[in-house]
Amino acid sequence: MSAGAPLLELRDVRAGYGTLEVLHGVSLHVAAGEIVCVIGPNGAGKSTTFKAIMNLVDVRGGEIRFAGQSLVGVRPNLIPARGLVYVPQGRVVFATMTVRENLEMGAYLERDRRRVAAAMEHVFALFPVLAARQRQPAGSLSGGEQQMLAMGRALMLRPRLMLLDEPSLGLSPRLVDEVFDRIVALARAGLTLVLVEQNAARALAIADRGYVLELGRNRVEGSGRALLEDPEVRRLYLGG
Amino acid sequence: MSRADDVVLEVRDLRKAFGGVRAVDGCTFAVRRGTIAALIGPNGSGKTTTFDLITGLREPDAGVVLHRGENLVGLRPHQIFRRGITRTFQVTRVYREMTVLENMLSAAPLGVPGREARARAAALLALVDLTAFRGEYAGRLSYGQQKLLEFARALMPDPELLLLDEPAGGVNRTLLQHLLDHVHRLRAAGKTILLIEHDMTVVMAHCEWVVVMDHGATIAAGPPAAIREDPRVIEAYFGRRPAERGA
Repeated sequence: MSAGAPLLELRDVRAGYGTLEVLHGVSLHVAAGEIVCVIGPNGAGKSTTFKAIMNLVDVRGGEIRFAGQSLVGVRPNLIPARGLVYVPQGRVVFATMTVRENLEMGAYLERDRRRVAAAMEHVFALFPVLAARQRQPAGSLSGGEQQMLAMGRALMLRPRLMLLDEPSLGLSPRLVDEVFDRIVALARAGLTLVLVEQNAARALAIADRGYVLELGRNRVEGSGRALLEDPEVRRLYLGG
Repeated sequence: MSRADDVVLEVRDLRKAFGGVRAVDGCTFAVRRGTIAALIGPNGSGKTTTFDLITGLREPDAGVVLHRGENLVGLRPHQIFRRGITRTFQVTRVYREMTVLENMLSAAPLGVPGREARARAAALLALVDLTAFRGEYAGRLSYGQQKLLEFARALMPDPELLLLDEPAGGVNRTLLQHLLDHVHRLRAAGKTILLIEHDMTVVMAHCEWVVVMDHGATIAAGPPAAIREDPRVIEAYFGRRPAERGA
């Protein structure tokens, strides 16, 4: 942790869907410039934590602060304007729109066309394959390219922090390598990242710190390396 | 494949195009009874479409799908289900407005008494750690839990041939180990399992036969050790040799 207040902080957050409460008090903090990984069994509340931050589920208690301001009650479509973006799992892109149109959609809060053009150049520099395919429908891209487009679209508003849910899901080994390489490159360029991954060993290897959630509560936290080497974590969550 | 009666599933020169895209373009392989086999290949190589063609969700433009020597092409999905072939989906297809238990019972075979079906559903839900969610709407489960529900539901009719589309995707490693243990028990009971999987630790450690697709066609088939060293597979799929990937 660097000195000063964390960029993102959750304190004792309770959240759920309808009658179902999934988070029973989750706390975490992320400093600017960190890669933080959230792991845990299925149903632990990892994706729900992201949805709570983005106000996409009912937040029933606790506090969520980003850059010193509360996010509780802020409409989801306005949160990216504060510098916080969310890339859901499953490579969600607009399949019938071109790559360029998808990226333009990502800049929906930006009215200055020059700033949109500059952001697009920035995304193309990070993901050259998107520049090469900018006129193709997003649905015709490979799985890895679609994941990069989803990340690129989220970068169009020049965020400070990105929430990335299972970026390696359903990707071939070659594409998993590419996506993790890009995540490291984004972090080096100054972006703060919070990852949810079932490929936990891989994610912890690039993470500064990690949190293990279980049944909607914090279970363990520590540096990526410490969690990777913790025999209990290995047995329970990394498959031995 | 030594003896024809060993082969539970065989596809020959399967082809399917969507507009100008030849999604499956010469897919040929066979799976022996009582084996765990894998279908691997880059994203977009036609693996899931091949599952769709085997299970009758789509009809091939050409080629045959033989189950115990009989052609399945032209049969409806429910007719193929009744022959003892079930599957899961990469993008989950649970009945979101039904409860977890109702999803399970929807796959109970015709003629099985309700009490027996409920007991079987309860045992399978325990296997995938979903007992506590049996009364919950399936649409409220997380993605990983929906994958687990599909896995359990595919086992409801006690299938002879189980097709799993990325069973490891989104599933916690420790629970995945339990699922794989169960897959081995199924195989020991004479069932056949064909799975699509990108997680090479699963493929290399648990499958006896690996079929590789690229651009819609099968480019290699063999035991995992041979596939791992096949230059065509390294080029098309791994990109780097496993030792270089450091994972």
